[in-house]
Amino acid sequence: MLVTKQPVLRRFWYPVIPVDQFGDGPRPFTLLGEALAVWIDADGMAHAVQDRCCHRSAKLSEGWTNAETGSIVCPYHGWEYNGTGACTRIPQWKDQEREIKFRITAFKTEIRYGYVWVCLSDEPLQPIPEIDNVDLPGFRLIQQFYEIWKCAGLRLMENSFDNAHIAFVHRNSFGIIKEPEPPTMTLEENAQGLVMRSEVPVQNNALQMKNLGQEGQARTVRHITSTWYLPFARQTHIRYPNGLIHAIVTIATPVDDRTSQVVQFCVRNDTEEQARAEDINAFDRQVTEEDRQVLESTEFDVPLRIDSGREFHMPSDRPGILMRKQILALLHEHGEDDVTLYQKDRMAEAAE
Amino acid sequence: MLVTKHPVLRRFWYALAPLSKLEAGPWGTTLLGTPLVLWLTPEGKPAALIDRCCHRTAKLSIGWVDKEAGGIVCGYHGWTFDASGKCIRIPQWKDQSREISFGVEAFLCEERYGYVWVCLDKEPVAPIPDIPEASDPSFRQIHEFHEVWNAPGLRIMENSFDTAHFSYVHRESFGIIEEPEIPAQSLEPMEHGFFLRTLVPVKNPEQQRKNLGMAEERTTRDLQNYFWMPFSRRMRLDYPNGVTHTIVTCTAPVDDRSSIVCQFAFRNDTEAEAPAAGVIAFDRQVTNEDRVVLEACEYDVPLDIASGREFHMSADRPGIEMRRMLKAMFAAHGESEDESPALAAE
Repeated sequence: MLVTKQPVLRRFWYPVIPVDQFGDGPRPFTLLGEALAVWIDADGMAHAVQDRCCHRSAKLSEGWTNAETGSIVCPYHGWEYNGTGACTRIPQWKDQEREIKFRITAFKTEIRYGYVWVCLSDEPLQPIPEIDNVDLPGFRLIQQFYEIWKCAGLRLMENSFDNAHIAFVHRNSFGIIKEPEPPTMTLEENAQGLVMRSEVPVQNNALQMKNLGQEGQARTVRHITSTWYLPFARQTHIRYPNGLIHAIVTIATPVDDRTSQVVQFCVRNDTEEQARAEDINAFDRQVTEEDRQVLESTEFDVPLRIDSGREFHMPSDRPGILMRKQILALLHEHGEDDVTLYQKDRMAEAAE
Repeated sequence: MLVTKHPVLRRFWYALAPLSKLEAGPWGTTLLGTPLVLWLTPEGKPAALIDRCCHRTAKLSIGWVDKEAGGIVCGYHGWTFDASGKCIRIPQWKDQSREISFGVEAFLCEERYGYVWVCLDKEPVAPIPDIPEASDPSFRQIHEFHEVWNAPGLRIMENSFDTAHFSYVHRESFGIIEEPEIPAQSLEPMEHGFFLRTLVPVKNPEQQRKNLGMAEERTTRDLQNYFWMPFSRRMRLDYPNGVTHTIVTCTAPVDDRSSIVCQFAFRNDTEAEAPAAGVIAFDRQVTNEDRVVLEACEYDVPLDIASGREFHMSADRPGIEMRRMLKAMFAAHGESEDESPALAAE
């Protein structure tokens, strides 16, 4: 699947830029190959428009915002646009009262969980995922990572639901390489994706003993409820035997066919005194780097058909297989074929 | 010529790395656009597989070798493959005695002269070239370079047989810029290549005086140069004092624009007479002089000498003969010389 060639993927919400990275001006972001200029106005409202002025095609993200009107100003000739994409000012016109009919494409935006989210369609198929406990007393949200990974979002999603890779990829952090047989899981599909439940025995290194308040315990068990949201988001709710909850939210925002903007934060029911955010992020950093090395070596054009011959499967791959099936069904439901560089897969699609 | 567009080039052996490079673990590279992982079996033999696990497409080159299992382990889920590409272990399977019926693509792989050679086709059209010095006890082998050049093999080869560039490209090392005319040369066909012989007057700078044990400021090279299709050569240089310095340069096409270059030498003197470090230092200077020029040439080399994109002189005969041989081979295998569409558009 080449994500930029599947229009239905434009009908989902994706986090693009952390709110605290705006400063006082607009910022560029490429979402599904679409160049966007994103800004937050003085009232705290986020806006996203195509990153091209309709006059001489300059990038609006290189411009600035008009503090009075909240519009974005093109750096080339000062043409201004509001959040609906309407051109609101052409400074060169003698008659400033004259009505301007020009406009550029604007996109839906929301601010959630510290990020500006964008949907490239006016009709999103699903709401922004509801993250458990975020607003409950006793819970804190810790921002973790915001970075580019050179891999497809689907690769990161299936990895997040894959009990079998832990023993190998995470052998130096929490995986137990001597116990490669993956723990069992239950899977439940729903309208927005799937839910996986599993109990995973893991090893605790020194940092994790501290982070989990499990001093002296070399092993522990993760009680996992992991929710996948079509197409590239998940929350993995981990409960430890001592009642600690470490819920990880990861979204792989699709930049282009080969690249994802990875957004990760976690939600926990302990305090900074009990476990420092810095230490929590240090451990999750090690884990994500382990995944990243492997995932960036995988092929970005993920086969959706499990009989492609390009991939073989085992029972623990079931979540990733269901993801492929659900995405393929979604494409078909919206009149799309799986667009891929592989001719054999294209022919199999055409034959259906 | 775009090398990746010519399947017959997959039917030659290419030296890709010194065997010692694999001692640290699997190494990933690319040959004719095909991603490869090279690794050492527990018996110390090199193996070449496609650099993609057949499970979730991870590169096997980021994995490791399991000596006990006798295979390369994928770093993602531990699936293990033997040298034939067969999957020999799926650690997640409950029944470890169950037969595994799939695997990944494997390629012909041999060790020769201390290097790992790979052929992408089951039926090579030519054997790994023979190097008489390698089995002659009066010679020692010196490993010189293993690196990627942004130049196609044909450019590197024609340069290696071009006596006219010495005066200019190598004016700082052994070329004599005041004497740009080239000496007479003979060229004889041989199986899968040709043989060129010429007597070349050269400068003998300080480093070379040490390397050759010769005080003279000038000397002559009895140059005997063997071209091996498609992109390798063995050049024997006999000096008047009896010293022989044979250079073997093997280039392997990574893609249309770049080549892996393996260079090693054979000499009939001793380490005491000419330390390897000094021998390498001089050849380093010379190859760096070539590299600057060759990386500045066009990678899509025209095989047609009337292309209008290149003009010629008599000293270019070896390079023209290489073009002719490649063209004839492509024709014999039903392949035509396709021009790069990108270049045509430029």
